[in-house]
Amino acid sequence: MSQALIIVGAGHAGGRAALTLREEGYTGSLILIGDEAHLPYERPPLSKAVLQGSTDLAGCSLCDSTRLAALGIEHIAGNPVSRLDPQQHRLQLADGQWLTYTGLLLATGGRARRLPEAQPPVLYLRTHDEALALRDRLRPGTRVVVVGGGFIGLEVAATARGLGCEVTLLEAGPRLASRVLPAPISAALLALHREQGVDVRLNVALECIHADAVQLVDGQRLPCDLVVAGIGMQPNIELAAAAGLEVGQGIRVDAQLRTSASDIYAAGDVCEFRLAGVYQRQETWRNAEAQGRHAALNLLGRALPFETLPGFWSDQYHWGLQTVGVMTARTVSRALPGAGLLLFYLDDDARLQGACGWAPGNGAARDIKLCERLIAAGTVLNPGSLADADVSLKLLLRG
Amino acid sequence: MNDQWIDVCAVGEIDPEDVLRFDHGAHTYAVFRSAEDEFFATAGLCTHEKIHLADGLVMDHVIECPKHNGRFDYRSGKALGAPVCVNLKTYPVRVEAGRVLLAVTAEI
Repeated sequence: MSQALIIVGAGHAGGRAALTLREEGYTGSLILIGDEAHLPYERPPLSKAVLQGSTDLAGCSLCDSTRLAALGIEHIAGNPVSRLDPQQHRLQLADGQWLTYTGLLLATGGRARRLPEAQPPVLYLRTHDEALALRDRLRPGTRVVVVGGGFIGLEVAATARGLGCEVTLLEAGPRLASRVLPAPISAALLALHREQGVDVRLNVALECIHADAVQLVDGQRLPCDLVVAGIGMQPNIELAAAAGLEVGQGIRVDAQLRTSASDIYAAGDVCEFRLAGVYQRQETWRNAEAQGRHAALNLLGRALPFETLPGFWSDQYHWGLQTVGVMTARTVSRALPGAGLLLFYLDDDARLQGACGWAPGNGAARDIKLCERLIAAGTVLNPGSLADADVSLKLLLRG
Repeated sequence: MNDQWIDVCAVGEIDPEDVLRFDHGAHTYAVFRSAEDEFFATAGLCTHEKIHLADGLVMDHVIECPKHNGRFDYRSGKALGAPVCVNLKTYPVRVEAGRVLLAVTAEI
């Protein structure tokens, strides 16, 4: 049989994989299957520029239809995969058609987690169409309640404030984005949002949502026109699970991003891989980009271990947050210009493991990139030099 | 079409192996000084998602975009691989009496 590679999921990871396969010289049949009607796009602008109305779908697309056609990538939209049969190396589309593959990539991503009872006034933000639906509702003076103090909730709150909405943000935990951020940065985010006029409430529990208000467990009633929930992502593992592939909180893969079926790989938000020995998923642009590309190389037989460091960014108002690597218990901090902050995470030998920067604009970007190189170099560092804002990280890198 | 030389800054305002953002009229540029003390200029925004490159990291002759790690050789403007595939426009630069000058093409 001639080669036929199929990618299920036409989001960022799937789209990047398809483009990489062609860039790497793969000339066989290549099919990209997506649920959404759109060409592959990047999601970070959805909660910011798309919501503001300052960019459109073309502005976040990985490529246009002309390029996709020129590359000979067959894009199937609106005819999702209903069944996967790993034993026969084939899958079935919703219209009943069977497609046979020699290699398969599952980049099925996820969907916005829903509040337990489906409530009509609640909006979510995961897809481009959801962003447009939300954008149409954000008008000056609109009273918005955002449920969830993670990145989607915080970015929606920031954008909504910029559009003149009145925003209340509810977080169940004691601090913002606590799963992925250190306490000092959570505190800085909280201060920024309050300064920008968001009514942030921590440690609150939702009782129910009415058509015109949100009711809290403590009895408070928050009148509103609109509720947006950013309470996490549900990975789309059903297809893989039904096919008997190994799944946990995502589709489980080995160091090469290979699933429990030897000709099937997984990448992106849905991919559950080991990081520092622990199975986890990374719901980030960086992971979609890196794993999409990496899975493509391994579909071509490269057998490369996936070793890209995790990392993410978030933009809120005129501030930017950027991270790389992993957090540890040993922290050193240095001041960044403009009241910013850079936190270093060291291991017991004072080798850098991760960093988190918070600064106006993209002011932390350069240092985070240098931290990424310092982590890779494995240099033993002097905590005093790291704390000293006058010591250039480039200098430390070059020793 | 004429080249018009514009004053950017004093030579000392850009460190070796570094970059400066320079806005002029409706345009934004990135002006580079190499470790060998040569000066170069490119368009100021990444061709991927219109981010100011001057917030990025310069290592050797490569500028890395602050957000998506798109990389360009700032001497030629050449994009060095995904996620960037469109090259940066470059502009002539010269140093005169301790000042860095940038040539922009006057659109007449």
